[in-house]
Amino acid sequence: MSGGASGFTEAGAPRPGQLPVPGLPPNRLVPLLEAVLFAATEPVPVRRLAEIAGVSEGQVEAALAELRGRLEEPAHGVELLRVAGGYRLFTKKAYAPYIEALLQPERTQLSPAALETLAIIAYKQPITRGEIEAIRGVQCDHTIKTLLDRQLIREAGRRDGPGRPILYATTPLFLERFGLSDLKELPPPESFLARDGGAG
Amino acid sequence: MQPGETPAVRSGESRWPEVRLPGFEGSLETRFQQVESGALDARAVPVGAAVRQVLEHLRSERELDLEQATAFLGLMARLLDTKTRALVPSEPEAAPPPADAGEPEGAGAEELVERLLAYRAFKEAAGLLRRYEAEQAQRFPSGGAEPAEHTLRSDDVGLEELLAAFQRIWERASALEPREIPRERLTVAKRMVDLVEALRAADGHLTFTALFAGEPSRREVVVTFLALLELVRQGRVRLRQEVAFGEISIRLEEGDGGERR
Repeated sequence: MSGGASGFTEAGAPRPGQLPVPGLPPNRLVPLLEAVLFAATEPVPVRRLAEIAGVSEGQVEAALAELRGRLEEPAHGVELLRVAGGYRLFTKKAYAPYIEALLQPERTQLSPAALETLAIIAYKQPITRGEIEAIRGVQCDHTIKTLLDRQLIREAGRRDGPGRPILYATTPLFLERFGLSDLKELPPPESFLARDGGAG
Repeated sequence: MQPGETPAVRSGESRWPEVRLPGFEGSLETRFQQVESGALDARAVPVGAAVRQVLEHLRSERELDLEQATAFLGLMARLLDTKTRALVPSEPEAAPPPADAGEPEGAGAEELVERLLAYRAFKEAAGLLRRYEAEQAQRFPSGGAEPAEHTLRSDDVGLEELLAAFQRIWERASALEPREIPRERLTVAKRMVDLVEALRAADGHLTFTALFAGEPSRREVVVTFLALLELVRQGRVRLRQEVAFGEISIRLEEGDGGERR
């Protein structure tokens, strides 16, 4: 096979260093993407998947939709989700207790203070510590450090002006951790104020 | 599995102590939200008693939860602020607030309400994030744990971590220190000898400012001053000031001065 014109072997795998042929059979694209996403350690953008598979982004989208539909069936224990601007495979919620029994994850939930700070940053980014503190009415150095440590926020440059304060913004990990594909998925801020606040 | 039942997870709401006061019972946070939204009159809230109860609660905990304690402090401060504003009579010359349904309480009240509403909106957003987080926590991603889990679980930083952090900063500060030390190591004892020699060379008399001539570092200033104080204590020099706020002169007490204590 080594000298063949086709980039794909019988098993559908491209040889190293050679671009796969454009005419990858559609019935191979779905398992190919499944395999790539299975091995991935972070969400993979459609553009990247298209590069890897050597097909168009439209073809990838179509194949992912098919894969997603197939995995939704009860016969499968994983599902395909769009998070942080890419796709990633996740175990289904129903099996969480079993995964926990296996991995015994030491996840600690964020404190109310950290969540509040994170919410403010998510909606008002990029934002300085001073501005966050003005909203919360308390010092936030500790919570900001917590969020930085957990890579949920990052420093996003500095604001021009006195002291050139550091600006903070959320990270892709924030999106993933909260199951969001995009910041736009957050409900508009008005939805929180509309209820009984406006009447008072 | 319900989000609240997840092991190793502390529910945010349940950490708030229950407050038992007339007209002000249940979770402190819930009641505070009612005050913020105007459902509960801030003037009716016995802040002092609430503070005492929560302090009691904090003391009864085996470990001091800094996160909880600071959050509580902020909450009480805002409650106090709201109540104070409600108690202070509104100024008559202030422009009457627009026909809001709420009670007009002066110009500042409107801004306060505005601020509290904004804050409350973010509190609700935080609640939403909590639900998102709980939901997503039940899905385990391909390729294993998230990178963030490798880092310190800094959510519950305790005294030990704080001390360790301080230690690092202190060591870093100490490491910088040698840059300020001149080639000759500075000690109070050596500076005392220097001072006596300088006084002898100047016929036993120097002004205070002359001791700090040149551009001494802060360290030099401190060492020189301590040396001078020690010489005074030992009775080897005498300080004199002719006029108030005037120049201080230093006179060497030669001979018997060294033995006198």
